[in-house]
Amino acid sequence: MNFQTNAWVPVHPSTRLSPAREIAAVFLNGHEIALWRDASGRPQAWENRCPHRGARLTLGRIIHNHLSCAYHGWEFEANSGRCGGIPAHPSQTPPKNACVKTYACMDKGGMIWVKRLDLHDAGEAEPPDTPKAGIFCRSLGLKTDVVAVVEELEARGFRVCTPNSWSGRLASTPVIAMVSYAKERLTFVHIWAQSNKQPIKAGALFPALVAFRAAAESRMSAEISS
Amino acid sequence: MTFKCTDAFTMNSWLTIGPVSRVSSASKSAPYRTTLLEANIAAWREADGQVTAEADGASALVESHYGYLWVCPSGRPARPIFDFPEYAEAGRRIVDCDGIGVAVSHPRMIENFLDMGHFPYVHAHYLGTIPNTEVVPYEVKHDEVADELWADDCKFYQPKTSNSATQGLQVEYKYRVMQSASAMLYKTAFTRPDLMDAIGLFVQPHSEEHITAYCLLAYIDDTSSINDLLSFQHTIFGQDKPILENQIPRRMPLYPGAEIPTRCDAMSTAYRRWLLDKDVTYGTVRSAEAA
Repeated sequence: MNFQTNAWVPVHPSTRLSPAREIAAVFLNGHEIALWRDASGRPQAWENRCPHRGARLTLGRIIHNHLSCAYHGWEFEANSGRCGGIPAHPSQTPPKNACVKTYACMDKGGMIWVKRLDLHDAGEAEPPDTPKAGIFCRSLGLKTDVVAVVEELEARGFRVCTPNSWSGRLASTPVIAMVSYAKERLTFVHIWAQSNKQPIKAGALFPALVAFRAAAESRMSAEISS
Repeated sequence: MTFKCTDAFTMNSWLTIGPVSRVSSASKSAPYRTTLLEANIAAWREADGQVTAEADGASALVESHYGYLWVCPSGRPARPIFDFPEYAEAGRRIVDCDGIGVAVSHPRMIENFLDMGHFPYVHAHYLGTIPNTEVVPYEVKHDEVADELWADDCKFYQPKTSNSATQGLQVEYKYRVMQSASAMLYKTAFTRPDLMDAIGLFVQPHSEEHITAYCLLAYIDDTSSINDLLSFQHTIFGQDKPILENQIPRRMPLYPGAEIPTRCDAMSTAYRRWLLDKDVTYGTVRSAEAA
């Protein structure tokens, strides 16, 4: 398991983000990220904070291939994060330092992966290859830390297959669990069912996910109370 | 120290603990309870009409002005309460809009109140509308006698400037910061364009990141019902609240490069500089490491 800070982290299923439409709020090792796609479909991972007055960019909207902040309508350009327009001063060129902090962002294996760009050691150029993921089930948010999640996966016979990805069975369905540390006491597990031949028995799988979450979260509570 | 605040400017200022009406039926045995700078406040009216306040059980300096209760946390006010002549002016309607709780610092709240640039986005179809987004230059002054900040000659096109407005209007504004947590604005009265309505914003910092924002109108408007005036003001505040609660960080960053202003932020920039000059730390972030 690799949680080094320059690692690629799976944050969001690729199909759940449309070009130039929604802005998803995701996390990367304690950093809040605004995730969106430009009109060409290229994913964008930005610090979720407008450089002008600190408003979360996930409250904004996408206009003309720009992300427009909800507070003052400042428009930021895809890829660079540079400010392309300040509505309060339509004829003025925005200052160069009015720029959103950007993260590396790529689609791979059904997930959108994010990585920090501000570290001396840039890490891998691409996210790791993941096993054929299958059908996306859901992203579970767990109010616990990564250690508890990994312990619970191991307790259920999961084994790590690639960085951040674990394979095993839930309710006798083979699944891949992609784990991402969000922030203190919040971890996401993105569950994929590897059932290409038979239909997924969602009726059994979803209660198993709920039980998995409860078990992982109670590990954390046990640690706190001890 | 009962108040969890170390900067002298905040401690020596007048901070509201709510409208005077809160103590109308409060007594020593059943006081009005609230919090200020993380201290527990109890306030009540004595038999002789005087208001008494305690902070964590210790006597606190309290005064009543403009229909509101004001506490000076240190007990050594740097100056008397600010002037608000419109409050007593003949022909004005005084409407207390009471308060809205917001999970933000008091400087972020005050700055939002001083800002025209957000009108077409946060208050679309009320206080602004696209494409009328331009903020024309205005003048910022420091009144050194009263130690207040003023923004003069502010203009903005508003589709519905107040409850009584029936059409769009080029509205003139004046903004005024009296204290770090108290501000006023004056804007063209729709029913009497030669006069200006006055709105006071009095912020009660419960903690560095939680406030109640009270709003007091001294309006020329004599056509709207009190309910309509209140509901308009609550609509506007209700639009600001989710934005304010989604500013990162909740405290106002005052270190260089933390946030990038532009020309229309002249009043906000002056307010931030004024807070720095006063060495205000409560509700602010002073270094990137602390953010």
